[in-house]
Amino acid sequence: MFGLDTLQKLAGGAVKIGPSLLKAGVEAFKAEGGTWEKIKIFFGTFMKEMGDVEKDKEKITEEAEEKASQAVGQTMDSAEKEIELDKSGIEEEDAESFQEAFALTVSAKRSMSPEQQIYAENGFNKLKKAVEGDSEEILDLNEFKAVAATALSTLKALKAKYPDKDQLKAALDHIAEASENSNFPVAKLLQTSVLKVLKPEISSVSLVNPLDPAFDLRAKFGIDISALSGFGDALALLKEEELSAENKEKVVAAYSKYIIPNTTESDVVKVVEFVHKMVIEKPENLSTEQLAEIVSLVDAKDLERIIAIFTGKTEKTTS
Amino acid sequence: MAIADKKNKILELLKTSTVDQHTKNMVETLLPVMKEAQVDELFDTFMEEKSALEKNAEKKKRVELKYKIMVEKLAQIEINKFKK
Repeated sequence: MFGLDTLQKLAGGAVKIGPSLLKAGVEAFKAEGGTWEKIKIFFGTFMKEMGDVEKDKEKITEEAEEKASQAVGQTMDSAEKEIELDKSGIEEEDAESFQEAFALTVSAKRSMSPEQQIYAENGFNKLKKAVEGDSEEILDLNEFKAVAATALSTLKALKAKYPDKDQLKAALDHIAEASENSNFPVAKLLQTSVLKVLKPEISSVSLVNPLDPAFDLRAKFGIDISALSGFGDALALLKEEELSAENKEKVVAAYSKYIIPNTTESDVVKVVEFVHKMVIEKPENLSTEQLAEIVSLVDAKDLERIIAIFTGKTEKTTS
Repeated sequence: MAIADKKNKILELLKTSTVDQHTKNMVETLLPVMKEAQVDELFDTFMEEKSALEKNAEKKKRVELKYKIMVEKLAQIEINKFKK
């Protein structure tokens, strides 16, 4: 009679015989046929045991997945209602890319002060109305800073994840594709007619008035009042259809000193050429390729610096 | 444990977690702005997952070891038959 003793003998006492092994052994030795047939049966029983172990593992993963998704869902909840992403008919990869980019936006927005979060909320509402064609209400400076900081934080994170320009463009395409089924379709957001609401009115007077928020913004970019006129003149050169080498140098110097001081000079030249082209050609929209290009050119430290200036998280004025 | 420590532990546990990459990305992104209740939930979830996965790995190892020894012994019996 085959039993526990036989199995223990076979194992040479090397292992403690457990119920699964005993079951496998009993099944094998009860069967008719030679030793190899028994091994086959034995192997099959053990494979089943291993399959059960794998199933247990899958169950552990499923449970963790479900609970983690709940916590993520609770954090995204109110924001998801705002974007109203309809996942039907969207490729899973596109939907996931969009959700991840949106999570970056949610994270960036919630990391701001409560006051700035309200500005961001107002700003996004105006953007939403502009996308829907309901209104073209221009964001005020505080709303602009909060929305721009949120958007730049998202782009900075995407740039870190996709350092290669083509990869970044592909990621932006996935996001844009899925966003068509949401309240914030990227293609519409990048239309010049929508982007124009992101131009708060800043007068030359406001920049020198200590009571105006533009005064603080100018100071944080490191532009002294004495340098304001020169800076303004340099930016005005971008409106000239033909940007001479000498004038381009002046614009590049202004960008390098105040706007993107951590970006290499060769990339600042490309940024200036890009901006000049946009100013002169006035395209109807900004493509994902153009967005990927400009984000790739600007050094991450400069994105960080601009975000910090917009959110007031630093007193640093220049790099 | 302080909430900051829990967040750091969650990030550490995410490295070995078996949840899919999308969920990991979402957790990593939102963790800094999550409320304490959600952080607690994630912390407990990933700690439980880690413990369950360790037990599962031990079980797998035991089954593999027993199987290996038994097959070797059965093969030895067969070889001995030929020797006789």
